[in-house]
Amino acid sequence: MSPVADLLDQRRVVLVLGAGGVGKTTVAASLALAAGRAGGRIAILTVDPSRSLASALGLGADQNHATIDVGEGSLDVTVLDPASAWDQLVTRELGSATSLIDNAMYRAVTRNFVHAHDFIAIETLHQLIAAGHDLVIVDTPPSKRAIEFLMAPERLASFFENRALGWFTGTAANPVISVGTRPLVAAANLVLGRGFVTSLAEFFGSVRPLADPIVARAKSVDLLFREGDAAAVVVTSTEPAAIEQCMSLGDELATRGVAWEATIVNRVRQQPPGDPPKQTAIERDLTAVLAGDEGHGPAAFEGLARRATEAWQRSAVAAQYDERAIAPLRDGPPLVIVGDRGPGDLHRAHLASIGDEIVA
Amino acid sequence: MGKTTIAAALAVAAASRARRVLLCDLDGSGATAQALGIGDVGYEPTEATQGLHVMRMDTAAALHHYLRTFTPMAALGRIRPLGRALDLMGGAAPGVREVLALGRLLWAVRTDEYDLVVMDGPATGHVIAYLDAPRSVGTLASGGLLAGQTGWMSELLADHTRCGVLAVALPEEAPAEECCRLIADVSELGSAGLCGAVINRVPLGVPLASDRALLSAIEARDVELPGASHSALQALARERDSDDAARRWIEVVAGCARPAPFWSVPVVAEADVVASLADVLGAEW
Repeated sequence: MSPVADLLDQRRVVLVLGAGGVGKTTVAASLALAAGRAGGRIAILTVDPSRSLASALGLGADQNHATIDVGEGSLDVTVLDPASAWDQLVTRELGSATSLIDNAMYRAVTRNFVHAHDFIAIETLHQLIAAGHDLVIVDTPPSKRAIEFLMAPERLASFFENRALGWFTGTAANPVISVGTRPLVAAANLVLGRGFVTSLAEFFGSVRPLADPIVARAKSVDLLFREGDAAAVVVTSTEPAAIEQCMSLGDELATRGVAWEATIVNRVRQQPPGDPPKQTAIERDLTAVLAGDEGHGPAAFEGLARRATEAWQRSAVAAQYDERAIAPLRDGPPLVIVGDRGPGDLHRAHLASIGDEIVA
Repeated sequence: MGKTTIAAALAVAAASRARRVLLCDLDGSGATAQALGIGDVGYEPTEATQGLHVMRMDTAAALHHYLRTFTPMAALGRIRPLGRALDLMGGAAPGVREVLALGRLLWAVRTDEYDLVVMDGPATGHVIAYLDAPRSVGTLASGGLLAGQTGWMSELLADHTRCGVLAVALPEEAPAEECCRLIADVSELGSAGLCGAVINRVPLGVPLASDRALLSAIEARDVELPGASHSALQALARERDSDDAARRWIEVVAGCARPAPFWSVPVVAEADVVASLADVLGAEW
């Protein structure tokens, strides 16, 4: 059985990581569908699926949530929408009367602050786990460094626990600023303006009540990442840059204590079948089939035969190239190769065939 | 998408035309230097080849740079707790980090220190945070020294003759859609103009029309040629299919970019991608 099939069967969370443009979202969706077919309550948390991928997962236009039946099981599909996820979290924790949602600083932080997206992804993942799914597949948010997502819980905790932040928030709550804090606040006021520091302080003052529960949940997710219930699967293409990122990601996973259980190499070009073709043989075969057709002269057969031979050779070279590119990964966790399928819409049958190849 | 490769190739092409170029690795991953095949670079620009200067963004260094350039208190950033507090503000306050990074590069444009500044941009999801940062910091942090600097940044960003966003896509579904979303977001925000789209790794443009006609004729016959011939024709048919798909997605991206121009950049051999692309882009110049 494929190493990935075991993971889908036994773990509660499978993190799908990888550089941008390697087909991470497609692979994650294929895994979720494959897991669903095998049975159980499966969830997938995904980010920015393309239109056809979203519709293959049962999502209508502008829809961020759907539950579909797949084979023996069901699949809960959630597309992360950071802005509305934050708003929901804040209303849930602080009550619908909270004015925080209209606070300009809050909006700027949750809409634009880069790490805010990772934080809310962790929070959403916690909700999915708590909802009792047998397995949650996480298509990690795109960022230059795929490891950022795994650092979010720690970053969130250290952010709220930072003493300097306490100084700033303290200045809002307490008009009597301590002597030690004064030059700090003065400098921040100078650079950022008094209004900014005050409203930032107010903002942190009002999110403080959120901090403890969020940090606690983030820590529990972090613990799950490090203990046997979660597994990381790294997706890569055969591009040198992607493979390089894949290997450095592996090192980072190791230092963070997250188990790197498998590598999925996506869109690997395969050796074309058969022996190298001979141009003259192709010409002869073409003539046998098409002779008598109007408009196809021997020159056209000769040209096509030559270019088909060249195409076969290009295809063989590409396959050899990919084989060599993958070689360094063979020393790492088990490799799963997904063959290049050429262009094609990402409908459900396409995803199913990728999933089948991965779990076979 | 090959954003880093395209950024590096643009910079190399411009430098080979005797322009002074600054290429900045924004996310600090070191990928830009790697693409150029040079050793690691730091915040201070390093001259990689004649006229091509490469730097790696570091917002703490940019803050100190900023304080040196714009405040009478050069020593301000050197006071340790102060530096830490401002670093924290940079991390916590929305837009501050982005303004510092963008400001460093726009400053290089403003002072004409370089003829061309190429920013190997952030991941797609973070582009808007950067482009919106001068406005957002200018509004939220009004009255501070930093906000005082955002006015010229916004003006420079919006000046179509000097600044623009170059979107990079691949001729495939997901990247093409992502690129179109980015272009829509950039134009909706309106803080900077789109100067074009580059469609990277476009397949070779084979087969010829006459070959296509023959391939279709054989496919219509529903007969299978003997093994080796079949395999060769299949290889050519696959090239045709990816060419067809690529054309479709190029049309989509070109349509999204319009009226800004777009450039197709072919797949190039792996050895020295940057130099080959620099030739291609140079010829388009």
